[in-house]
Amino acid sequence: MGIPQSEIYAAILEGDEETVSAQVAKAIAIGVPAGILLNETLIPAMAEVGDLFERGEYFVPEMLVAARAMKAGLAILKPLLAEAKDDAIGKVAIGTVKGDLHDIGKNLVAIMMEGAGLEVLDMGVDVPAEQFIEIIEKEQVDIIAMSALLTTTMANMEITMRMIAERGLRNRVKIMVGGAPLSKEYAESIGADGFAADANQAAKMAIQLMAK
Amino acid sequence: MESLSSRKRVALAIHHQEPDRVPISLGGSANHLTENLYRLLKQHFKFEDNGRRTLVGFYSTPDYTPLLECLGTDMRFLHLRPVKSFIMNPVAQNFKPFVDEWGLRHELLSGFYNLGGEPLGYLETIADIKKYAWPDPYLPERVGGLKAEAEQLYHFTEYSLVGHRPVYGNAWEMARFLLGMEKALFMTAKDRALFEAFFDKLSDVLDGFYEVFLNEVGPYIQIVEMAEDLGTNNGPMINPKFYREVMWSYHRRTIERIKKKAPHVKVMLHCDGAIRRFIPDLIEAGFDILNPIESHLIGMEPAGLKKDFGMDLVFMGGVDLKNVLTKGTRSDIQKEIRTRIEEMGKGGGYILAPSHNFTNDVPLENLLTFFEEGKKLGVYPL
Repeated sequence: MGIPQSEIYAAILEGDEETVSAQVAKAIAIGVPAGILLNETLIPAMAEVGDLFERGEYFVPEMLVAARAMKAGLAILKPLLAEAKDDAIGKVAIGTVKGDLHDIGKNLVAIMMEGAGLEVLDMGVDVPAEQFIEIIEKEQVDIIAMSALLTTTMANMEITMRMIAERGLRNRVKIMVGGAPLSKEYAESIGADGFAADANQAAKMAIQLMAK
Repeated sequence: MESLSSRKRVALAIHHQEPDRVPISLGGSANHLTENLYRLLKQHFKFEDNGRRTLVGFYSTPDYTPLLECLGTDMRFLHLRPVKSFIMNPVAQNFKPFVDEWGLRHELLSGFYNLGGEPLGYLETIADIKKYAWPDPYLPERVGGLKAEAEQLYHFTEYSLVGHRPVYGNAWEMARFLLGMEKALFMTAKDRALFEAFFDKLSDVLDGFYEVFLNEVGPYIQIVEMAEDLGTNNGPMINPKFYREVMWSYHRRTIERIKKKAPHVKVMLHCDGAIRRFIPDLIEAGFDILNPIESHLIGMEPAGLKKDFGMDLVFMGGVDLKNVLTKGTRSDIQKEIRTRIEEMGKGGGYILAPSHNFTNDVPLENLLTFFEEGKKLGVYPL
Protein backbone atom coordinates (compact mmCIF):
# COMPACT_ATOMS: atom_id res chain seq x y z
CA MET A 1 0.00 0.00 0.00
CA GLY A 2 1.36 3.43 -0.95
CA ILE A 3 1.75 6.26 1.51
CA PRO A 4 -1.54 8.08 0.93
CA GLN A 5 -3.33 4.73 1.11
CA SER A 6 -1.83 3.73 4.42
CA GLU A 7 -2.70 7.20 5.74
CA ILE A 8 -6.26 6.74 4.56
CA TYR A 9 -6.43 3.31 6.18
CA ALA A 10 -5.14 4.62 9.51
CA ALA A 11 -7.39 7.68 9.37
CA ILE A 12 -10.47 5.51 8.84
CA LEU A 13 -9.58 3.46 11.90
CA GLU A 14 -9.11 6.68 13.84
CA GLY A 15 -12.36 8.14 12.55
CA ASP A 16 -10.43 11.11 11.19
CA GLU A 17 -12.82 12.36 8.52
CA GLU A 18 -10.66 15.34 7.48
CA THR A 19 -7.58 13.28 6.84
CA VAL A 20 -9.54 10.64 4.95
CA SER A 21 -11.05 13.26 2.64
CA ALA A 22 -7.73 15.04 2.13
CA GLN A 23 -5.73 11.89 1.47
CA VAL A 24 -8.34 10.34 -0.83
CA ALA A 25 -8.32 13.52 -2.89
CA LYS A 26 -4.53 13.46 -2.91
CA ALA A 27 -4.42 9.83 -4.00
CA ILE A 28 -6.86 10.49 -6.85
CA ALA A 29 -4.78 13.49 -7.88
CA ILE A 30 -1.62 11.40 -8.15
CA GLY A 31 -3.44 8.83 -10.26
CA VAL A 32 -4.45 6.03 -7.91
CA PRO A 33 -7.60 4.49 -9.45
CA ALA A 34 -10.80 4.94 -7.47
CA GLY A 35 -11.52 1.21 -7.68
CA ILE A 36 -8.14 0.42 -6.10
CA LEU A 37 -8.73 2.87 -3.29
CA LEU A 38 -12.13 1.32 -2.66
CA ASN A 39 -11.10 -2.31 -2.80
CA GLU A 40 -7.61 -2.12 -1.34
CA THR A 41 -7.98 0.63 1.24
CA LEU A 42 -11.53 1.57 2.21
CA ILE A 43 -13.05 -1.89 2.25
CA PRO A 44 -10.18 -3.56 4.16
CA ALA A 45 -10.13 -0.66 6.63
CA MET A 46 -13.82 -1.16 7.38
CA ALA A 47 -13.25 -4.91 7.61
CA GLU A 48 -10.68 -4.26 10.32
CA VAL A 49 -13.10 -1.90 12.07
CA GLY A 50 -15.60 -4.74 12.01
CA ASP A 51 -13.03 -7.16 13.41
CA LEU A 52 -12.07 -4.75 16.18
CA PHE A 53 -15.77 -4.52 17.05
CA GLU A 54 -16.12 -8.32 17.05
CA ARG A 55 -13.09 -8.59 19.31
CA GLY A 56 -14.60 -6.12 21.77
CA GLU A 57 -11.98 -3.44 21.22
CA TYR A 58 -14.15 -1.07 19.24
CA PHE A 59 -17.67 -0.18 20.30
CA VAL A 60 -20.59 1.54 18.61
CA PRO A 61 -19.05 5.05 18.90
CA GLU A 62 -15.77 3.95 17.33
CA MET A 63 -17.63 2.16 14.53
CA LEU A 64 -19.77 5.23 13.96
CA VAL A 65 -16.84 7.64 13.63
CA ALA A 66 -14.84 5.24 11.46
CA ALA A 67 -17.87 4.66 9.26
CA ARG A 68 -18.43 8.37 8.84
CA ALA A 69 -14.80 8.91 7.95
CA MET A 70 -14.95 6.12 5.38
CA LYS A 71 -18.17 7.59 3.98
CA ALA A 72 -16.41 10.92 3.46
CA GLY A 73 -13.78 9.17 1.38
CA LEU A 74 -16.39 7.14 -0.47
CA ALA A 75 -18.26 10.30 -1.41
CA ILE A 76 -15.19 11.46 -3.35
CA LEU A 77 -14.82 8.08 -5.04
CA LYS A 78 -18.46 7.47 -6.01
CA PRO A 79 -18.66 9.64 -9.13
CA LEU A 80 -15.32 8.25 -10.31
CA LEU A 81 -16.46 4.68 -9.73
CA ALA A 82 -19.66 5.28 -11.71
CA GLU A 83 -17.60 6.74 -14.54
CA ALA A 84 -15.34 3.75 -14.61
CA LYS A 85 -18.41 1.50 -14.29
CA ASP A 86 -16.87 -0.22 -11.33
CA ASP A 87 -19.56 -2.60 -10.26
CA ALA A 88 -20.64 -2.90 -6.71
CA ILE A 89 -20.87 -6.41 -5.32
CA GLY A 90 -24.62 -5.95 -5.01
CA LYS A 91 -27.38 -3.44 -4.41
CA VAL A 92 -29.19 -3.15 -1.09
CA ALA A 93 -32.23 -1.10 -0.19
CA ILE A 94 -32.40 -0.55 3.56
CA GLY A 95 -35.06 1.07 5.67
CA THR A 96 -36.70 1.16 9.06
CA VAL A 97 -40.26 -0.18 8.80
CA LYS A 98 -43.49 1.75 8.91
CA GLY A 99 -44.28 3.37 12.23
CA ASP A 100 -40.71 3.18 13.45
CA LEU A 101 -38.35 6.15 13.52
CA HIS A 102 -35.27 4.49 14.99
CA ASP A 103 -32.34 4.80 12.66
CA ILE A 104 -28.93 4.67 14.28
CA GLY A 105 -28.56 0.94 13.82
CA LYS A 106 -29.91 1.14 10.32
CA ASN A 107 -27.55 4.02 9.46
CA LEU A 108 -24.58 2.11 10.77
CA VAL A 109 -25.59 -1.00 8.82
CA ALA A 110 -25.90 1.10 5.66
CA ILE A 111 -22.39 2.48 6.02
CA MET A 112 -20.87 -0.87 6.98
CA MET A 113 -22.49 -2.38 3.88
CA GLU A 114 -21.06 0.39 1.72
CA GLY A 115 -17.75 -0.21 3.39
CA ALA A 116 -18.02 -3.82 2.32
CA GLY A 117 -18.43 -2.84 -1.33
CA LEU A 118 -22.22 -2.92 -1.69
CA GLU A 119 -24.29 -0.17 -3.23
CA VAL A 120 -26.80 0.98 -0.64
CA LEU A 121 -30.05 2.88 -1.11
CA ASP A 122 -31.05 4.24 2.28
CA MET A 123 -34.83 4.57 2.33
CA GLY A 124 -34.88 6.23 5.72
CA VAL A 125 -37.42 5.53 8.42
CA ASP A 126 -41.13 4.87 8.63
CA VAL A 127 -41.04 3.04 5.30
CA PRO A 128 -44.34 1.45 4.26
CA ALA A 129 -44.50 -1.87 2.42
CA GLU A 130 -45.50 -0.15 -0.82
CA GLN A 131 -42.25 1.74 -0.86
CA PHE A 132 -40.17 -1.42 -0.45
CA ILE A 133 -42.15 -2.94 -3.32
CA GLU A 134 -41.60 0.12 -5.48
CA ILE A 135 -37.86 0.07 -4.97
CA ILE A 136 -37.63 -3.61 -5.90
CA GLU A 137 -39.47 -2.87 -9.12
CA LYS A 138 -37.69 0.36 -9.99
CA GLU A 139 -34.14 -0.12 -8.80
CA GLN A 140 -33.49 -3.83 -9.33
CA VAL A 141 -32.13 -4.23 -5.84
CA ASP A 142 -30.65 -7.55 -4.84
CA ILE A 143 -31.35 -7.31 -1.14
CA ILE A 144 -34.03 -5.71 0.99
CA ALA A 145 -32.85 -4.98 4.54
CA MET A 146 -35.48 -4.07 7.14
CA SER A 147 -34.93 -2.66 10.61
CA ALA A 148 -37.35 -2.35 13.53
CA LEU A 149 -36.75 -1.40 17.11
CA LEU A 150 -40.22 -1.75 18.57
CA THR A 151 -42.16 -4.94 19.21
CA THR A 152 -45.18 -3.18 17.73
CA THR A 153 -43.50 -2.27 14.45
CA MET A 154 -41.79 -5.64 14.00
CA ALA A 155 -45.13 -6.88 12.67
CA ASN A 156 -44.68 -4.60 9.68
CA MET A 157 -41.78 -6.74 8.54
CA GLU A 158 -44.09 -9.68 8.11
CA ILE A 159 -46.68 -7.51 6.37
CA THR A 160 -44.05 -6.13 4.02
CA MET A 161 -42.81 -9.60 3.15
CA ARG A 162 -46.33 -10.86 2.55
CA MET A 163 -47.05 -7.99 0.21
CA ILE A 164 -43.79 -8.56 -1.66
CA ALA A 165 -44.80 -12.20 -2.12
CA GLU A 166 -48.32 -11.27 -3.20
CA ARG A 167 -46.83 -9.03 -5.85
CA GLY A 168 -44.82 -11.98 -7.17
CA LEU A 169 -41.54 -10.32 -6.28
CA ARG A 170 -40.31 -12.62 -3.51
CA ASN A 171 -37.91 -14.53 -5.73
CA ARG A 172 -36.37 -11.34 -7.06
CA VAL A 173 -34.75 -10.33 -3.79
CA LYS A 174 -33.11 -11.64 -0.68
CA ILE A 175 -34.64 -10.23 2.47
CA MET A 176 -32.72 -9.66 5.69
CA VAL A 177 -33.91 -8.21 8.97
CA GLY A 178 -32.45 -6.77 12.13
CA GLY A 179 -33.14 -4.73 15.24
CA ALA A 180 -33.02 -5.24 18.98
CA PRO A 181 -36.36 -7.05 19.50
CA LEU A 182 -35.63 -9.52 16.70
CA SER A 183 -33.97 -12.90 16.76
CA LYS A 184 -32.77 -15.49 14.29
CA GLU A 185 -35.81 -17.59 15.21
CA TYR A 186 -38.18 -14.74 14.47
CA ALA A 187 -36.48 -14.02 11.16
CA GLU A 188 -36.78 -17.68 10.19
CA SER A 189 -40.41 -17.80 11.27
CA ILE A 190 -41.34 -14.97 8.91
CA GLY A 191 -39.37 -16.45 6.04
CA ALA A 192 -36.53 -13.92 5.90
CA ASP A 193 -33.30 -15.04 4.26
CA GLY A 194 -31.10 -13.61 6.96
CA PHE A 195 -30.86 -11.96 10.35
CA ALA A 196 -27.97 -10.01 11.82
CA ALA A 197 -27.42 -8.96 15.41
CA ASP A 198 -25.18 -5.99 14.68
CA ALA A 199 -23.97 -3.79 11.83
CA ASN A 200 -20.78 -5.74 11.29
CA GLN A 201 -22.67 -9.05 11.04
CA ALA A 202 -25.19 -7.40 8.73
CA ALA A 203 -22.53 -6.38 6.22
CA LYS A 204 -21.10 -9.90 6.26
CA MET A 205 -24.55 -11.42 5.86
CA ALA A 206 -25.31 -9.23 2.86
CA ILE A 207 -22.09 -10.34 1.17
CA GLN A 208 -23.02 -13.96 1.92
CA LEU A 209 -26.49 -13.49 0.48
CA MET A 210 -24.98 -12.05 -2.71
CA ALA A 211 -22.83 -15.15 -3.08
CA LYS A 212 -25.89 -17.44 -3.04
CA MET B 1 -36.61 -17.95 61.12
CA GLU B 2 -40.05 -16.57 61.83
CA SER B 3 -41.61 -14.22 59.35
CA LEU B 4 -40.00 -10.81 59.17
CA SER B 5 -41.50 -7.49 58.14
CA SER B 6 -40.74 -6.44 54.58
CA ARG B 7 -38.51 -3.68 55.90
CA LYS B 8 -36.39 -6.05 58.00
CA ARG B 9 -36.34 -8.60 55.18
CA VAL B 10 -34.98 -6.13 52.66
CA ALA B 11 -32.60 -4.62 55.24
CA LEU B 12 -30.93 -7.97 55.75
CA ALA B 13 -30.83 -8.81 52.05
CA ILE B 14 -29.23 -5.51 51.08
CA HIS B 15 -26.64 -5.89 53.82
CA HIS B 16 -25.64 -9.31 52.49
CA GLN B 17 -27.34 -11.32 55.18
CA GLU B 18 -29.98 -14.01 54.86
CA PRO B 19 -33.49 -12.92 55.89
CA ASP B 20 -36.51 -15.23 56.30
CA ARG B 21 -36.97 -15.39 52.55
CA VAL B 22 -35.76 -13.66 49.39
CA PRO B 23 -37.58 -10.32 49.02
CA ILE B 24 -39.68 -9.82 45.90
CA SER B 25 -40.65 -6.59 44.18
CA LEU B 26 -42.73 -4.93 41.49
CA GLY B 27 -42.42 -1.28 40.68
CA GLY B 28 -39.82 1.40 40.85
CA SER B 29 -37.07 1.71 38.27
CA ALA B 30 -36.58 -2.05 38.43
CA ASN B 31 -39.67 -3.16 36.61
CA HIS B 32 -43.19 -2.05 35.87
CA LEU B 33 -46.24 -3.11 33.93
CA THR B 34 -47.93 -2.05 30.74
CA GLU B 35 -51.23 -0.21 31.20
CA ASN B 36 -52.90 -3.26 29.72
CA LEU B 37 -51.43 -5.63 32.30
CA TYR B 38 -52.38 -3.22 35.07
CA ARG B 39 -55.98 -3.29 33.81
CA LEU B 40 -56.00 -7.10 33.70
CA LEU B 41 -54.63 -7.28 37.23
CA LYS B 42 -57.24 -4.80 38.40
CA GLN B 43 -59.97 -6.98 36.90
CA HIS B 44 -58.46 -10.06 38.49
CA PHE B 45 -57.97 -8.72 42.00
CA LYS B 46 -60.91 -6.30 41.87
CA PHE B 47 -58.96 -3.64 43.78
CA GLU B 48 -59.92 0.01 43.81
CA ASP B 49 -57.70 2.25 41.75
CA ASN B 50 -56.67 5.17 43.98
CA GLY B 51 -56.93 7.61 41.07
CA ARG B 52 -53.35 8.79 41.37
CA ARG B 53 -50.62 8.58 38.76
CA THR B 54 -46.97 8.52 39.73
CA LEU B 55 -43.98 9.79 37.78
CA VAL B 56 -41.78 6.88 36.67
CA GLY B 57 -38.77 7.77 34.53
CA PHE B 58 -40.09 10.14 31.89
CA TYR B 59 -43.70 9.01 32.01
CA SER B 60 -46.35 8.00 34.50
CA THR B 61 -48.22 4.93 35.62
CA PRO B 62 -51.20 4.46 37.89
CA ASP B 63 -50.10 4.38 41.52
CA TYR B 64 -49.33 0.69 42.07
CA THR B 65 -50.00 0.71 45.83
CA PRO B 66 -53.39 -1.11 45.77
CA LEU B 67 -51.95 -3.70 43.37
CA LEU B 68 -48.83 -4.26 45.46
CA GLU B 69 -51.05 -5.00 48.47
CA CYS B 70 -52.72 -7.77 46.45
CA LEU B 71 -49.43 -9.20 45.17
CA GLY B 72 -47.80 -9.04 48.59
CA THR B 73 -44.52 -7.49 47.46
CA ASP B 74 -41.98 -6.00 49.86
CA MET B 75 -41.23 -2.55 48.51
CA ARG B 76 -43.25 0.63 48.29
CA PHE B 77 -42.04 3.62 46.34
CA LEU B 78 -41.79 7.33 46.86
CA HIS B 79 -41.90 9.50 43.75
CA LEU B 80 -40.88 13.08 43.11
CA ARG B 81 -43.89 15.10 41.94
CA PRO B 82 -44.22 16.27 38.32
CA VAL B 83 -44.14 20.00 37.63
CA LYS B 84 -47.34 21.74 36.53
CA SER B 85 -46.36 21.69 32.85
CA PHE B 86 -45.96 17.90 32.84
CA ILE B 87 -48.97 16.00 31.51
CA MET B 88 -49.46 12.67 33.33
CA ASN B 89 -50.55 10.83 30.19
CA PRO B 90 -51.83 7.32 29.97
CA VAL B 91 -50.23 5.28 27.20
CA ALA B 92 -52.95 4.98 24.52
CA GLN B 93 -56.26 6.83 24.60
CA ASN B 94 -56.33 10.54 25.37
CA PHE B 95 -52.57 10.90 25.07
CA LYS B 96 -51.74 14.60 24.86
CA PRO B 97 -48.32 15.30 23.34
CA PHE B 98 -46.42 18.10 25.03
CA VAL B 99 -42.99 19.69 25.39
CA ASP B 100 -41.50 19.50 28.88
CA GLU B 101 -39.19 21.68 30.98
CA TRP B 102 -36.13 20.15 29.27
CA GLY B 103 -37.46 20.98 25.81
CA LEU B 104 -38.16 17.30 25.17
CA ARG B 105 -41.25 16.32 23.22
CA HIS B 106 -43.45 13.64 24.76
CA GLU B 107 -45.31 11.62 22.14
CA LEU B 108 -46.65 8.20 21.29
CA LEU B 109 -44.66 6.29 18.71
CA SER B 110 -46.38 3.14 17.50
CA GLY B 111 -47.92 2.55 20.89
CA PHE B 112 -44.79 3.35 22.84
CA TYR B 113 -44.19 6.47 24.90
CA ASN B 114 -41.34 8.31 23.20
CA LEU B 115 -39.13 11.30 24.01
CA GLY B 116 -38.16 13.35 21.00
CA GLY B 117 -36.94 16.76 19.98
CA GLU B 118 -33.21 16.55 20.77
CA PRO B 119 -33.30 20.06 22.22
CA LEU B 120 -29.51 20.26 22.55
CA GLY B 121 -28.75 18.66 19.20
CA TYR B 122 -27.10 21.92 18.17
CA LEU B 123 -24.48 21.75 20.92
CA GLU B 124 -21.15 22.96 19.56
CA THR B 125 -19.49 25.10 22.24
CA ILE B 126 -19.08 25.50 25.97
CA ALA B 127 -21.11 28.69 25.66
CA ASP B 128 -24.05 26.62 24.39
CA ILE B 129 -23.93 24.67 27.66
CA LYS B 130 -23.98 27.83 29.73
CA LYS B 131 -26.78 29.47 27.74
CA TYR B 132 -29.16 26.51 27.84
CA ALA B 133 -32.33 26.91 29.88
CA TRP B 134 -31.63 24.16 32.38
CA PRO B 135 -34.64 23.12 34.51
CA ASP B 136 -34.67 24.28 38.12
CA PRO B 137 -34.59 21.30 40.51
CA TYR B 138 -35.53 23.53 43.43
CA LEU B 139 -39.12 24.32 42.40
CA PRO B 140 -41.26 23.69 45.50
CA GLU B 141 -43.99 21.95 43.46
CA ARG B 142 -41.65 18.97 43.00
CA VAL B 143 -41.87 18.01 46.67
CA GLY B 144 -45.45 18.89 47.63
CA GLY B 145 -46.74 16.41 50.21
CA LEU B 146 -43.72 14.16 49.77
CA LYS B 147 -42.37 14.31 53.30
CA ALA B 148 -45.80 13.66 54.81
CA GLU B 149 -46.27 10.66 52.53
CA ALA B 150 -42.84 9.28 53.47
CA GLU B 151 -43.49 9.73 57.17
CA GLN B 152 -46.87 8.05 56.92
CA LEU B 153 -45.40 5.02 55.16
CA TYR B 154 -42.43 4.90 57.51
CA HIS B 155 -44.30 5.10 60.78
CA PHE B 156 -47.52 3.30 59.92
CA THR B 157 -46.39 0.50 57.63
CA GLU B 158 -43.57 -2.02 57.67
CA TYR B 159 -42.79 -1.92 53.98
CA SER B 160 -39.33 -1.39 52.61
CA LEU B 161 -39.36 2.17 51.28
CA VAL B 162 -37.55 2.95 48.06
CA GLY B 163 -36.95 6.32 46.46
CA HIS B 164 -37.90 5.99 42.80
CA ARG B 165 -35.32 7.85 40.74
CA PRO B 166 -36.31 11.55 40.79
CA VAL B 167 -35.03 12.04 37.24
CA TYR B 168 -35.99 10.63 33.83
CA GLY B 169 -32.63 8.90 33.82
CA ASN B 170 -29.11 9.75 34.93
CA ALA B 171 -26.60 11.71 32.91
CA TRP B 172 -25.88 9.27 30.05
CA GLU B 173 -29.61 8.58 29.57
CA MET B 174 -30.38 12.30 29.57
CA ALA B 175 -27.41 13.08 27.32
CA ARG B 176 -28.89 10.79 24.70
CA PHE B 177 -32.34 12.37 24.95
CA LEU B 178 -30.99 15.93 24.85
CA LEU B 179 -28.29 15.52 22.19
CA GLY B 180 -29.85 12.72 20.19
CA MET B 181 -28.41 9.23 20.37
CA GLU B 182 -26.14 9.47 17.36
CA LYS B 183 -24.60 12.79 18.38
CA ALA B 184 -24.09 11.58 21.96
CA LEU B 185 -22.31 8.43 20.78
CA PHE B 186 -20.28 10.39 18.26
CA MET B 187 -19.15 12.91 20.87
CA THR B 188 -17.84 10.20 23.18
CA ALA B 189 -15.43 9.22 20.41
CA LYS B 190 -14.66 12.55 18.78
CA ASP B 191 -15.46 15.47 21.06
CA ARG B 192 -14.50 14.38 24.54
CA ALA B 193 -13.76 17.77 26.05
CA LEU B 194 -17.09 19.25 25.06
CA PHE B 195 -18.91 16.07 26.01
CA GLU B 196 -17.32 16.11 29.44
CA ALA B 197 -18.19 19.76 30.03
CA PHE B 198 -21.79 18.99 29.03
CA PHE B 199 -21.90 15.81 31.14
CA ASP B 200 -20.52 17.65 34.17
CA LYS B 201 -23.21 20.33 33.98
CA LEU B 202 -26.01 17.86 33.23
CA SER B 203 -24.98 15.54 36.06
CA ASP B 204 -24.86 18.50 38.43
CA VAL B 205 -28.39 19.59 37.49
CA LEU B 206 -29.67 16.03 37.99
CA ASP B 207 -27.95 15.89 41.38
CA GLY B 208 -30.12 18.86 42.35
CA PHE B 209 -33.19 16.66 41.82
CA TYR B 210 -31.68 14.02 44.16
CA GLU B 211 -30.90 16.71 46.71
CA VAL B 212 -34.45 18.04 46.96
CA PHE B 213 -35.85 14.50 46.90
CA LEU B 214 -33.60 13.25 49.68
CA ASN B 215 -34.29 16.36 51.73
CA GLU B 216 -37.85 15.04 52.02
CA VAL B 217 -37.55 11.25 51.93
CA GLY B 218 -33.92 10.54 52.84
CA PRO B 219 -34.44 9.54 56.49
CA TYR B 220 -37.25 7.11 55.58
CA ILE B 221 -35.95 5.13 52.62
CA GLN B 222 -33.62 2.14 52.45
CA ILE B 223 -32.79 2.40 48.76
CA VAL B 224 -32.60 5.18 46.17
CA GLU B 225 -32.50 4.47 42.47
CA MET B 226 -30.41 5.59 39.50
CA ALA B 227 -30.80 4.51 35.86
CA GLU B 228 -28.43 4.41 32.92
CA ASP B 229 -28.24 2.40 29.71
CA LEU B 230 -24.63 1.45 29.20
CA GLY B 231 -25.13 -1.77 27.29
CA THR B 232 -26.71 -3.24 24.22
CA ASN B 233 -27.87 -6.85 23.95
CA ASN B 234 -24.41 -7.78 22.75
CA GLY B 235 -22.02 -5.75 24.83
CA PRO B 236 -21.10 -2.24 25.96
CA MET B 237 -22.79 0.58 24.07
CA ILE B 238 -19.92 2.95 24.76
CA ASN B 239 -16.24 2.22 25.18
CA PRO B 240 -15.71 1.04 28.80
CA LYS B 241 -12.44 2.92 28.76
CA PHE B 242 -14.38 6.10 28.00
CA TYR B 243 -16.81 5.31 30.77
CA ARG B 244 -13.97 5.00 33.25
CA GLU B 245 -12.03 8.02 32.04
CA VAL B 246 -14.92 10.43 31.72
CA MET B 247 -18.39 9.42 32.91
CA TRP B 248 -17.41 7.42 35.95
CA SER B 249 -16.25 10.35 38.08
CA TYR B 250 -19.63 12.01 37.71
CA HIS B 251 -21.47 8.85 38.73
CA ARG B 252 -19.16 8.70 41.71
CA ARG B 253 -19.83 12.33 42.53
CA THR B 254 -23.58 11.74 42.38
CA ILE B 255 -23.32 8.76 44.72
CA GLU B 256 -21.02 10.60 47.13
CA ARG B 257 -23.54 13.43 47.32
CA ILE B 258 -26.39 10.96 47.87
CA LYS B 259 -24.51 9.13 50.63
CA LYS B 260 -23.41 12.34 52.29
CA LYS B 261 -27.03 13.36 52.58
CA ALA B 262 -28.38 9.90 53.48
CA PRO B 263 -25.49 7.69 54.64
CA HIS B 264 -27.73 4.70 55.40
CA VAL B 265 -29.22 4.53 51.90
CA LYS B 266 -28.17 1.92 49.36
CA VAL B 267 -27.93 3.03 45.73
CA MET B 268 -29.53 0.84 43.10
CA LEU B 269 -28.54 1.04 39.45
CA HIS B 270 -31.05 0.02 36.80
CA CYS B 271 -28.99 -0.74 33.72
CA ASP B 272 -30.05 -3.07 30.91
CA GLY B 273 -27.84 -4.98 28.58
CA ALA B 274 -24.64 -6.99 28.53
CA ILE B 275 -22.77 -4.73 30.96
CA ARG B 276 -20.34 -7.05 32.72
CA ARG B 277 -17.34 -5.06 31.58
CA PHE B 278 -18.56 -2.03 33.47
CA ILE B 279 -19.24 -3.80 36.75
CA PRO B 280 -15.88 -3.35 38.50
CA ASP B 281 -16.09 0.37 37.79
CA LEU B 282 -19.71 0.51 38.91
CA ILE B 283 -18.72 -1.06 42.21
CA GLU B 284 -15.93 1.45 42.62
CA ALA B 285 -18.29 4.32 41.86
CA GLY B 286 -20.32 3.21 44.89
CA PHE B 287 -23.34 1.43 43.42
CA ASP B 288 -24.70 -1.13 45.89
CA ILE B 289 -27.48 -2.90 43.99
CA LEU B 290 -27.61 -3.92 40.32
CA ASN B 291 -30.84 -4.46 38.36
CA PRO B 292 -32.44 -5.98 36.19
CA ILE B 293 -29.84 -8.63 35.28
CA GLU B 294 -30.77 -9.77 31.79
CA SER B 295 -29.58 -13.25 32.53
CA HIS B 296 -29.67 -14.58 28.96
CA LEU B 297 -27.09 -12.08 27.71
CA ILE B 298 -23.37 -12.81 27.39
CA GLY B 299 -21.54 -12.13 30.61
CA MET B 300 -24.74 -11.71 32.58
CA GLU B 301 -25.03 -15.35 33.69
CA PRO B 302 -26.25 -15.08 37.28
CA ALA B 303 -23.96 -17.69 38.84
CA GLY B 304 -20.91 -15.97 37.39
CA LEU B 305 -22.04 -12.54 38.51
CA LYS B 306 -22.64 -13.78 42.04
CA LYS B 307 -19.26 -15.48 42.14
CA ASP B 308 -17.29 -12.53 40.83
CA PHE B 309 -19.21 -9.61 42.27
CA GLY B 310 -21.53 -11.00 44.94
CA MET B 311 -19.42 -9.69 47.79
CA ASP B 312 -19.79 -6.14 46.57
CA LEU B 313 -23.15 -6.06 44.84
CA VAL B 314 -26.70 -6.98 45.67
CA PHE B 315 -28.54 -8.34 42.65
CA MET B 316 -32.16 -7.60 41.87
CA GLY B 317 -33.81 -9.31 38.92
CA GLY B 318 -32.66 -12.07 36.63
CA VAL B 319 -35.87 -14.14 36.36
CA ASP B 320 -36.09 -14.59 32.62
CA LEU B 321 -38.86 -12.61 31.01
CA LYS B 322 -38.29 -13.13 27.31
CA ASN B 323 -38.82 -16.89 27.36
CA VAL B 324 -39.81 -18.25 30.76
CA LEU B 325 -42.27 -15.65 31.99
CA THR B 326 -43.65 -15.08 28.50
CA LYS B 327 -43.97 -18.65 27.24
CA GLY B 328 -43.34 -20.91 30.24
CA THR B 329 -45.62 -23.13 32.28
CA ARG B 330 -46.00 -22.91 36.05
CA SER B 331 -43.39 -25.61 36.35
CA ASP B 332 -40.96 -23.70 34.12
CA ILE B 333 -41.43 -20.60 36.21
CA GLN B 334 -40.90 -22.48 39.46
CA LYS B 335 -37.72 -23.98 38.05
CA GLU B 336 -36.44 -20.60 36.88
CA ILE B 337 -37.14 -18.98 40.27
CA ARG B 338 -35.49 -21.85 42.14
CA THR B 339 -32.44 -21.69 39.88
CA ARG B 340 -32.07 -17.96 40.27
CA ILE B 341 -32.37 -18.20 44.05
CA GLU B 342 -29.78 -20.95 44.22
CA GLU B 343 -27.43 -19.00 41.97
CA MET B 344 -27.81 -15.60 43.58
CA GLY B 345 -29.45 -16.01 46.99
CA LYS B 346 -26.74 -17.49 49.17
CA GLY B 347 -25.72 -15.16 51.93
CA GLY B 348 -28.54 -12.78 51.06
CA GLY B 349 -27.78 -10.08 48.53
CA TYR B 350 -30.61 -11.06 46.19
CA ILE B 351 -34.06 -9.65 45.47
CA LEU B 352 -36.45 -11.49 43.16
CA ALA B 353 -37.58 -9.56 40.11
CA PRO B 354 -37.91 -10.22 36.37
CA SER B 355 -35.05 -9.61 33.94
CA HIS B 356 -36.96 -6.75 32.36
CA ASN B 357 -40.27 -4.86 32.44
CA PHE B 358 -43.41 -6.96 32.13
CA THR B 359 -44.60 -6.75 28.53
CA ASN B 360 -48.03 -7.32 27.03
CA ASP B 361 -47.17 -10.81 25.88
CA VAL B 362 -46.66 -12.08 29.44
CA PRO B 363 -49.84 -14.01 30.24
CA LEU B 364 -51.62 -12.79 33.38
CA GLU B 365 -51.42 -16.33 34.75
CA ASN B 366 -47.62 -16.30 34.53
CA LEU B 367 -47.32 -12.93 36.19
CA LEU B 368 -49.44 -14.13 39.10
CA THR B 369 -47.42 -17.35 39.26
CA PHE B 370 -44.19 -15.38 39.51
CA PHE B 371 -45.35 -13.48 42.58
CA GLU B 372 -46.98 -16.49 44.24
CA GLU B 373 -44.10 -18.87 43.70
CA GLY B 374 -41.48 -16.21 44.38
CA LYS B 375 -42.71 -15.84 47.92
CA LYS B 376 -42.95 -19.62 48.47
CA LEU B 377 -39.67 -20.70 46.96
CA GLY B 378 -37.29 -18.19 48.48
CA VAL B 379 -37.35 -19.38 52.07
CA TYR B 380 -34.01 -19.44 53.92
CA PRO B 381 -31.99 -21.44 54.66
CA LEU B 382 -31.81 -22.45 51.00
